[in-house]
Amino acid sequence: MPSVEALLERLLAGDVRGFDLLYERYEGPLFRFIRRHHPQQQDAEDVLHEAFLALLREGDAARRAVSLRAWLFQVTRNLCLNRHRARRRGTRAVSDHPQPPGVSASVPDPYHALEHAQAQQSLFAALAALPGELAELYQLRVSGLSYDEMASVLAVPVGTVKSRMHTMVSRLREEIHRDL
Amino acid sequence: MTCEVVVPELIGFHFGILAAEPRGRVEAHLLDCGSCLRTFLALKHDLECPADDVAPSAAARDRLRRAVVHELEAARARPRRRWEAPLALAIGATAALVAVLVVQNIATGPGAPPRTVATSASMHPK
Repeated sequence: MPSVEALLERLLAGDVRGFDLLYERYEGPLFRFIRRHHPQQQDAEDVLHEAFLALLREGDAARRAVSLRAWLFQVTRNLCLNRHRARRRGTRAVSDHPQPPGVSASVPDPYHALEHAQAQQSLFAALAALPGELAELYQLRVSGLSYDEMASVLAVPVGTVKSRMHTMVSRLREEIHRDL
Repeated sequence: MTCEVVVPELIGFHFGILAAEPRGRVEAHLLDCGSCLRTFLALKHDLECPADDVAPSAAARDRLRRAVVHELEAARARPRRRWEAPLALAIGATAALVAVLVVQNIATGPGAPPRTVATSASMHPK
């Protein structure tokens, strides 16, 4: 599997296939991250559009980045924040509520299925209740970013990332186990 | 470590924030306890694949791809970048200056014909 840096070079050399492969890799994580900021589909699509075009328009900056993945999330986050500022919204970054999921196919029997469904509902409710900065931290973490990369994206020290991770986990744990 | 103690720690375990000792205890428990392992795997799945899994529309994907193709074509069609014209001018000027210096050096340096000869020849034509 080619590295994201190699794909960027293909893209900057004019190979649209480089874009296709980068898009395939980052569409999901970036779009979910954007939706934490902008629940509206159209807004999120616009931000995603600009984020990918930034790869082309700011190719040299992307090349110089220590981690291209972190750079892409950072650009995306800035676009989200700029959009918020432009619209002067005072809403919280997280306002979307995940729908209660169906029963997972991996759960073998009705008792465990019910137990799992309850746990899942509690988990999603807890995730939806996370405040903005913890919600985006969660999204970055489940997108596979390291602590250093998250610190780079959020423009905070690594120590702050660790501290927020602890806070996030504590919040989730409290929310989930209060409901169960 | 009992299941009641382990289960609340599973989120921290998943996100890698447990200290070495409790992490080791959770790992050891998960190896022995099928129920907690199942709970952990379900939790991991739910954390990484949330139910509100969303995606951009096909129209948005097409719009973006068209924009990228357009940008790439525009970059190909663009004859020169902004810095290329001044750079070409600077190189040209430098080359002209070097040429002048070389000619001057040849005309006045060692081995060059003495000016007086040329001058006297021109003063006394045959």
